[in-house]
Amino acid sequence: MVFSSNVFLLYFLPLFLICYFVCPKRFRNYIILLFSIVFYAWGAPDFILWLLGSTIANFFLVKLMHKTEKKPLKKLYCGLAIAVSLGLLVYYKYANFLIDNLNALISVFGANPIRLAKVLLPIGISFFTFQSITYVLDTYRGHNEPMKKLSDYMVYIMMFPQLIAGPIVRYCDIEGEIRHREYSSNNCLHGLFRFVIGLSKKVLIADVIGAQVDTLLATNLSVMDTGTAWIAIAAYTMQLYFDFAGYSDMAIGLGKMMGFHFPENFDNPYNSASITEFWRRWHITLGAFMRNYLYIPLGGNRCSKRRMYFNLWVVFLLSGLWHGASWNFVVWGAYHGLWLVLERMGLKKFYEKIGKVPSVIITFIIAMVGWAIFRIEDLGQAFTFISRLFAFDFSSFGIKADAQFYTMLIIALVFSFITLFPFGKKMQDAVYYKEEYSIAGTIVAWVVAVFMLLFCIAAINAVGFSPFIYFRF
Amino acid sequence: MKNKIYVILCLLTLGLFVLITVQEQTHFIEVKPLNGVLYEPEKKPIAIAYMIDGSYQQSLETYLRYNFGFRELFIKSYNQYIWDFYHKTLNYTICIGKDNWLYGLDEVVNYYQSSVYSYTQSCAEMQHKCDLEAQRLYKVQHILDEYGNFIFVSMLPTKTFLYPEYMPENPGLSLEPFHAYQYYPKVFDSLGVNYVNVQEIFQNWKGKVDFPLFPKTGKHWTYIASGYAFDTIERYIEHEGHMNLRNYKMGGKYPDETEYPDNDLEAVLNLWRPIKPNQNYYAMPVLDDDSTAYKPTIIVVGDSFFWNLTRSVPLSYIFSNYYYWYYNSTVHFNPKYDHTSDADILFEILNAKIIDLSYSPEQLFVFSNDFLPKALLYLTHDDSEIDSTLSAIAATVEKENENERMEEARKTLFSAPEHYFPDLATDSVPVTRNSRIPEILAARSF
Repeated sequence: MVFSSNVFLLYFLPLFLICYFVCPKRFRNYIILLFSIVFYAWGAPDFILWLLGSTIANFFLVKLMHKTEKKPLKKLYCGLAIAVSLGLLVYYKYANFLIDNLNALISVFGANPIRLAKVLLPIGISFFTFQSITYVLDTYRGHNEPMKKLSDYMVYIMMFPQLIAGPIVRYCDIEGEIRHREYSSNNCLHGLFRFVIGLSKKVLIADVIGAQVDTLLATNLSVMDTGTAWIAIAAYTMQLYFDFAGYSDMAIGLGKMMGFHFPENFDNPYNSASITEFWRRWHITLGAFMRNYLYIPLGGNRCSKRRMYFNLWVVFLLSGLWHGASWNFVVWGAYHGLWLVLERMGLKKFYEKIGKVPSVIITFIIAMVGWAIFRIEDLGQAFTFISRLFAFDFSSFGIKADAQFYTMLIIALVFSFITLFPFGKKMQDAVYYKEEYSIAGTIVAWVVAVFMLLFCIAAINAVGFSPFIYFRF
Repeated sequence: MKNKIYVILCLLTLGLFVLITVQEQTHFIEVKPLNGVLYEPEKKPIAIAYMIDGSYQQSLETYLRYNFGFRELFIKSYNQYIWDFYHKTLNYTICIGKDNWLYGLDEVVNYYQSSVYSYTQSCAEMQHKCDLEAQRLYKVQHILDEYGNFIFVSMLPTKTFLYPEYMPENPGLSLEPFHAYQYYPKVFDSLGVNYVNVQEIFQNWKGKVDFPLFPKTGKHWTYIASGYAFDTIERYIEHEGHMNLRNYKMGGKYPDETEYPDNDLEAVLNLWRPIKPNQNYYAMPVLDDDSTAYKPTIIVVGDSFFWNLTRSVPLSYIFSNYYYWYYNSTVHFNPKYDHTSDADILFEILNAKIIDLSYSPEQLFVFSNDFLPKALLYLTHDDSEIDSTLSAIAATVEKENENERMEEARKTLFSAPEHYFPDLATDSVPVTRNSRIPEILAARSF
């Protein structure tokens, strides 16, 4: 099920909230679990049993791991628990990719290709797999005790707001709230406000921009003029951000309504003055996962420079591969890894010298070029498109005057960079992070939120349905 | 206090959604439906099999999309927002021209490139199709002439060619054009086929008459213009068909925005606020009391332009019967049957003194909608021959249902009878006649 669908907005969410708040507190986790199962099964009925099975297996493996005193056995259980999660991920996400590449390789030697029925990717598998890995490893490392109740663990893994596109929540971040959380109507309203902000980002901005991006990138890229190419990639840059950040806002908002405090996933990433900073602001929870569970175990910064550069590269290659089983994602990961290494090698000092604004502009351009590789799956086409970005050919501007597209693109750009200025930061803090408004402020915010919510429902139904980009990762 | 207000706001939010669901289920508040052809999706029954293959989920989402409570208000509000802020519409079949003049997408395509590619692969193929259709008309005209029936073509006008100054910009159409409305008159002239070019008449009227020929926000000719146009058509029938019909004149015009609003294109934009129309006029026809005049039966085969005539022209005063074969498919103003497939075409065309093939430029690509090949076939061959051919074709159709096989066979035969009856493929008028003709002629009233 998708947050921006009629079934979710008109049936599922109101029904869930009624059941959730009518139910006594001690049963609320069961309500979450029940609705989460329905939520997932609605979109991926074939995979729900696998998800339930792997979750249950992980719960007991972690319990066994914790109980045992013997280190090798502990390691074995830990490895098994991770293998269960990763095994499903590798099979469902990478089987086709691996077989295709293996076949390409063995065909050179004249061998017959290996046949495998097309494996369909279950939505959200990358997210809940990583979440279960954090639980296994944090328990193994002794950061937390394993959960006592299976239902609580299932709530942690399967909670519908963040089940299919994050944020990737570490168990230690919501351990307390799974067992006991504070409920307040203020929280509920603030959750609603955040949810509506996210929905508006997705429906009113990302989808409008995305429609034009799809049209532009479906044309012959080799003859695209430079102006059109820059607008197309700027538009995709905004579409991706508002789509994914919108989803994260909705997830955080829903969590808040339920009494949870999920970690933030975005912090104005396009205001970054370097790619290193960009990755601290874009998909923050994935960055944290990669740092805690891959980069640091590989040696992190506490090793030779050469090894550190290697570590960075590996982490970003894998991060690219996490986004999708396709070579363009691998190249995209390597591209970002390259910039990170260059920044460590001295580019960062250059940024410091030229100042914040030029660094932000350079970083934004680097990120945009990266998104071209990310968006255009065919690598040849992606590089053709990038060559058009720098062809300085302004002969045939190819975007028709669509006032809605340009308006939304400008709004997206303004909101992406507004926090570079103090008043923008202030405004963002007031809208996003202020825990309590005055009564009048709350009423005004509620009126605006309800209006925007109804307006988004109108837009969804007048324009058409569009799923979230990050669902396929 | 503060907490109470917050609780009330939370409950109000939930209440709003409950209200939407209750409206969806009960329609307890009557809401004016949206204009246009509305899609009514089917909701699949709840069944495990449908849920596992995902079809139930999809059907519920689609069903809700078209049926959620107060949908009409939501859609109209969003349409109005899009119109007011961005001057565009989500209805892709409508194009917005200068000064808010509206045009149908098919008309715009036909203007800039011609709609030929919606029907054939190439202009040459369409030209061949037009030649064939004109040949059929020529033959039917000659045969009907033998029996005293008059068949002719009304080549109707179109807004795009008449008011190109308000047209939206070319959306990028650049393929080789082929305009049937320019080609047919040449072929008709060379064959001596009866036709009246109303488009040409409208071109002459433009700027000289003090009423709009087309409405700013509608697709078809204005009521008043259609009234004047039919007066000209009637005079053409009298002259070329050698008959004296009852005449009418258009009376004094009066402005009215409400009588029959000529805004079918605007209506399907589904906006809250109307677009300012151009000044529209209406006129009551004044009848000539000529008791000696002849009141024949007419069959009009054609597109939707005829609907306006039913309101602007005193058809029942001029004709004893007027039957409208809409795209040669549904039948209107004839209580005997609703569909042309139920009609005995031979009987009907011989009993109609006048047959008017009435097509606007965009529809000329499907001119006659297979009326002419079917008429030609039934005029020249016996029913038994046709039936046996239909059975032979049906036997080759790969469909289980007998009715579907016959339906397919009819489509095949009536769209290209020349394939099965080689005598129809020659340039000359066939000499054979359906043996039922004398019997029908003997029984008819003129």
